[in-house]
Amino acid sequence: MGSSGSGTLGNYQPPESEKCDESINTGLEEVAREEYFSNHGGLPPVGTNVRLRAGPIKGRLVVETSKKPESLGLIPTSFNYLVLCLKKGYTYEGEVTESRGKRSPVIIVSLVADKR
Amino acid sequence: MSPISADQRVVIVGDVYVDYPLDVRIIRLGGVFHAARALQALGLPYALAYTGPEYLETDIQHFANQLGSNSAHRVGIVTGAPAVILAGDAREAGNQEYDEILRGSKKVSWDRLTLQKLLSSYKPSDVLIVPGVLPLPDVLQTVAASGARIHIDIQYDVDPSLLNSGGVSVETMFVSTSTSLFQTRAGGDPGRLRQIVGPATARNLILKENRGGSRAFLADGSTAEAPSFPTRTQHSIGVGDCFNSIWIGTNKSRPAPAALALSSFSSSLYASTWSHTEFLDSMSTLLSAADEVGEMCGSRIPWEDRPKLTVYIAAPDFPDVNTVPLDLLAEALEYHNFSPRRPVKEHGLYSPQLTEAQATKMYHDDLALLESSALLVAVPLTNDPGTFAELGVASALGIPTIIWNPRSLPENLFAWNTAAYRCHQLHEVIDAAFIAIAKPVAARWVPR
Repeated sequence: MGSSGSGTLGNYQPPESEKCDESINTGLEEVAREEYFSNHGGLPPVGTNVRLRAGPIKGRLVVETSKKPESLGLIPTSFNYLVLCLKKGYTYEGEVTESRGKRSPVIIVSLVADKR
Repeated sequence: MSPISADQRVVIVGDVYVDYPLDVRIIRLGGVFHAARALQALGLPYALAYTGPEYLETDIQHFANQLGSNSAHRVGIVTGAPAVILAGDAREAGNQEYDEILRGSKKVSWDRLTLQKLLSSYKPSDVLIVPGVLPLPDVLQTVAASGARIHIDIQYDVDPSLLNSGGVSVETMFVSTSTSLFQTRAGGDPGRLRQIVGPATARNLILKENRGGSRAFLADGSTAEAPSFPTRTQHSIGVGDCFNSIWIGTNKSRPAPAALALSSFSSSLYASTWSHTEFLDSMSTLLSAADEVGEMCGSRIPWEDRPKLTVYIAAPDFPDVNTVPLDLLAEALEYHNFSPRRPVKEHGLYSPQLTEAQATKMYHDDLALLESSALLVAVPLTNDPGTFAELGVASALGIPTIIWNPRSLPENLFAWNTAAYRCHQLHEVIDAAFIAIAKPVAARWVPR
């Protein structure tokens, strides 16, 4: 309220899209310290089904495998807004699109939003 | 559990401005309206005691009503100036270059009686004072007589001794690291700031450290700190006022670390949109997720820790290249108290006329600097092989890397994918710098 273009004060129109609906394509953090890498000594293959865990763990949002849930890595903090999306009833599921590296393991995931 | 107390009601005292960011060109009511938007989003009852010019009166009353204010009372009529602030950099990559039009000829007629009547009838539990054109000692005495808790934001050149001389006890003082009180009087030292603004002057002192987080010095001698929460910054205007409002509304019902975290997260939401509807919706969800949000991890780099964080600027910093972007980058990093380093400027420009020994020394000096850096920002102003080689070396060494392409050169596949963060605008570089350098942490009590 009280904001507009440069002509008059008015009501700035909300964006046409809801941020929570956006897909997420991102690398994960702390891959080497998470359950999957620890349990298997390696990385999941491309195409592995994954999901965003329903709530934060120790202040971080976690991506886990969908089957026999094991944590794969942490979502970067720039996606912290997702904690509000999860509260609104959104879920995020998708797959591993890249997984590589031995000394510095990298997992990149693609997640699609769904609203319950 | 709701993060706000049931018995709180707030009066905001300050100026109304029209904010006009020149780089974005969206007109927005500012000043006390930033705090008002946040209080509405929090669901905290409030009233406005404002100064403003006559031509804005209808709009002020209209939008105060739209923003859920219980009432809005003009306590000062502004003449001689339009109360318009131009902002050169809405997103505060560096100095926002605020410029109030005709501030030198601005006058206000102060109406103490209207403020007294409001305080007497509304009976606020808290009053937030944003110093501006009103006579601060007079305002403080008037507010103090009401018995409300006083919170004050030192945004400009306000002398804290004004508080002592009036015998006024302040509950909270908010100070930003961009103020001259912090940078000049306290020498950029948070501990020194608390000595200048001790508990007798302000029971609680909140230091807002921009994208590096915040800290609270409390009356009992304890200190809390919280990270900032990265977002896609749309603007940085009024973000501090939002922070203040959320702190006022949550610090009585939440421990200080959680209250700081909620204030910080709310500020990120405010900065991420120009749409009040979107902000309200996000805040509504935040209130239902307050416990989780209070424990989220973000970026915390204390102000005094930043000078030792070297940022290596890898770029064709050559005499025959227009290096204005590098100047802007270095200025922005210094504004945020980091130490930008430009190796060509410091160690010299390579030329074939150098002896092998001289060239080798130059290379080793650059490499030593790079290895000791906390961050490398590659800025390919031209397709310079050295820039990309340095980017590769930093990446291989595990040093965080950003690539900034201000001239939109064709992207080199390898270079573009080597960098951890890819930016097209300066404010994105600054956002990324804090994320890249800081290890994510949650709000906490600082060990004594």
